[in-house]
Amino acid sequence: MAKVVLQNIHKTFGRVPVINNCSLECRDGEFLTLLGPSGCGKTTLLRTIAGFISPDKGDIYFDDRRVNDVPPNQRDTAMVFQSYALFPHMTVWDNVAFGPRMKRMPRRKIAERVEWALELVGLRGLEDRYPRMLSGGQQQRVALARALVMEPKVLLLDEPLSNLDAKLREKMRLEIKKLQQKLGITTIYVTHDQTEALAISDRIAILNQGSVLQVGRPEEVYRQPNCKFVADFIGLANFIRGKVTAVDERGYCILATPIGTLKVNAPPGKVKPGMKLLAYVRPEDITLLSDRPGTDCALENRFTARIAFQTYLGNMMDYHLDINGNTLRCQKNNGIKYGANETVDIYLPPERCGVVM
Amino acid sequence: MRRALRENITNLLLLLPGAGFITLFFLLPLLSTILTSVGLISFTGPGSLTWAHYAEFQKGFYLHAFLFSLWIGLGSSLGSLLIALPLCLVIRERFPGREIISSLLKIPLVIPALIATYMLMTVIAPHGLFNLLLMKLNIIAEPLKLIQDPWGIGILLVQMWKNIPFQAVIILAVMENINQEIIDAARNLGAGAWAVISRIIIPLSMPGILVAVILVFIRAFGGFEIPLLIGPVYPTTIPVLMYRRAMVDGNWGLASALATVIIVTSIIVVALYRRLAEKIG
Repeated sequence: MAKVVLQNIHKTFGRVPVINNCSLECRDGEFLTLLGPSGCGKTTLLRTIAGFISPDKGDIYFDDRRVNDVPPNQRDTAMVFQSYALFPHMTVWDNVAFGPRMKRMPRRKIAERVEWALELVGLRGLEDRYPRMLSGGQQQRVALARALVMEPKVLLLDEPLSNLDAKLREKMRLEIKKLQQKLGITTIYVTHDQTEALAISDRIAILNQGSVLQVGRPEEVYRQPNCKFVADFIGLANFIRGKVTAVDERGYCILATPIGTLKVNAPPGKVKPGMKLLAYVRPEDITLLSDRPGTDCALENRFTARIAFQTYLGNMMDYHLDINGNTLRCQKNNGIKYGANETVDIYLPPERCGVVM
Repeated sequence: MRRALRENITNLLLLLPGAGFITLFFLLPLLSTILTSVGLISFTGPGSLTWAHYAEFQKGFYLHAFLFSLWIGLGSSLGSLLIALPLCLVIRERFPGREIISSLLKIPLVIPALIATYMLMTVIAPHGLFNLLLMKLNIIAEPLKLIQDPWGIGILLVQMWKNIPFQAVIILAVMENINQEIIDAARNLGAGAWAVISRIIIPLSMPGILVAVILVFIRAFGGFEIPLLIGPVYPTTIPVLMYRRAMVDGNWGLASALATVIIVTSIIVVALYRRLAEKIG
C-alpha cells in the first residue's frame, strides 16, 4: 500500500494542454475517484500514474519515492482498463498468472496467488475458459483478479464499469468497494458517472479541462461545491443569478434575484454587498408547502410557482416549476399530487441554498 | 412463398457469373492437368490411363528438383520472415520517419519479379557492385558466386527482396489491430519489452505470420521466372523442369504430372496451415 502524490503535473499533447497544473494526493488505503466529463484529462492523469505517459512538468511520488523515471513495468501499480484488455490468447488462469510469472514467483506461489485472486472475485471453476467465452461481467472480474493478484501498491481503475449494463454496474461497484475495503488497497478510480463516484469513493476529485476543481468527501462535494461546474456536474442543481444586498454574521446573505429576495448560505468573509453571485439549490431540497399544510407560517424564501411540467419517475416526481418565467426543478417522492398548471407555494430552506462565484 | 422463390432465383442468377468463371477457368484446367498427367487426355491422340509419367519420378533427378523447390520455398518464406518480423515490430512503434520507411518498403510490391531479378542480378553478379564492394573492403579475395549457384542463394535473395515487404504488409495489418490497452496491460503487469513481444505481440500476430509464411512458400515453391533467370542449371525447380518438359521436349503428360506435384504440395501446405490456425484459435 502506498500514498500517491501528484505535484503540479502538466501534460500537453501536440499543442493541446491536457493536464494543467494538477496537484493531488491519494492517502494510503484511500479510495479516490477522478471524476469529470470526457476529455477532462482524468484518464491521462491515471495513465501518468501508471507510467504510460510521462508528464511534461511536475512530480509523481509513491510514498516518498519519486517515480517519474520508473517504467510502467516496475511501478507496482495494477490497472483495470476500460476495455478490460484481457489477453485473448490466454485462458482465465493464464491471464491472472501473467503478472506473477513476470515477477518470476515460484510455481507453487503463483498457483496459490492465482487461486486466491480467482476466489476473491468469484471465478473459481472458469480457469480454463478463454476471455471470448465469458460474459462482460465475468471478463470484468478477470481483469480485477489479474490486477489484485499482483498485490499492487496502487490499484488503478479506468472506467471499469462503463461497458456493463446498469444493474450489473451497480452490483460490481458495490463489489469493488467491498474488495477495496477488505484489502485496504490504495485505489484511484476514473469515471464520468457522478452517481458511481458518490457511491464508491472515500474522496472525489472533480476535474475539468485538465484542472482539479475540488477534492472532497462525496457529501462535501455534493453539499458544498466550490464552483458552478462542480455544483452542476454532481447531481442536479437549480441556479439563480443574484446580487448581494446584505450579509449577516451567521453566514447567510440576502440576494436580489429575478424570483425575488433570497436568503442563502454563504461562506463567511467571502461575500460582500454588491457582489454578483450564483445561488443554487438542489431539486430535492425545495419544499412544496402545499404538501404539508400547517407549516404554512410566515417565512422568508417563500415563492409562488406554477407547475409547468411534471414527470413521473417511479420513485419520485420531477416538477418543472415556473416563477415569473424562471424555471426551478423540484423532485419529491410523493406520487402524483398536482395537475399541470396548478399553483403551489414553495419554500427554499436558506441552509440548503448555497452560492458559487 | 413466391417471394422466397423469387429471391432464390435472384441469388442463383447473381451466383452464376462467379461460379461459372471458377468452374470454366479454374476447376476445368485443374481437372484437365490431372487427367493429362495420367494420360487420359493427350494433345497428340487418344489417351489411355497410364502411370508412366509418375514412374519417371523414380529418377533422382526429379527428387532433387522437388527437394530444391522445397528448399527455395522454405528458405524464401522463413528467410523473409526473419527480416520482415523484426521490421514490423519496429514500424509498429510510433517514431519519426516511420511513414517514410513504411512507403519505401512498399516499392518492391509494385515491381514485377522479372525486373526485380534483373535489378538484383546486376548487383550480385560476379563483378556486380556487391562483390566489388566486398573485394574493395578486402573481406573477400574472389567474387562470391551468387548467381546460378547450387544452393540457389541468388533465387533466395530475389525472393526475399520481393517478399519481405509482402509479408510485412500482411503482418503489420494484424499487428496494428492489437489493442494498445492489451500491450499496456502487459507492461503494467511487469512485462518488459522482450516479454511484451514474445508473449503478447507475436502470439497475437500469429494468424498474420502464418498466412505470410504460407503464401510466400507457395509463391516461391511454384515460382518460375526467378529460378530460370538466376538459378543453377542443376538442380533446378519443378516449374523450370515443367517448362523444359513441355516447351522443349513437348512432353505435356510429364509436365502435367509435375504440375500435379506442385498442386498437391500446395494443398498439403494449406491443409497444414488450417490445422495450425485452428490450434492457435
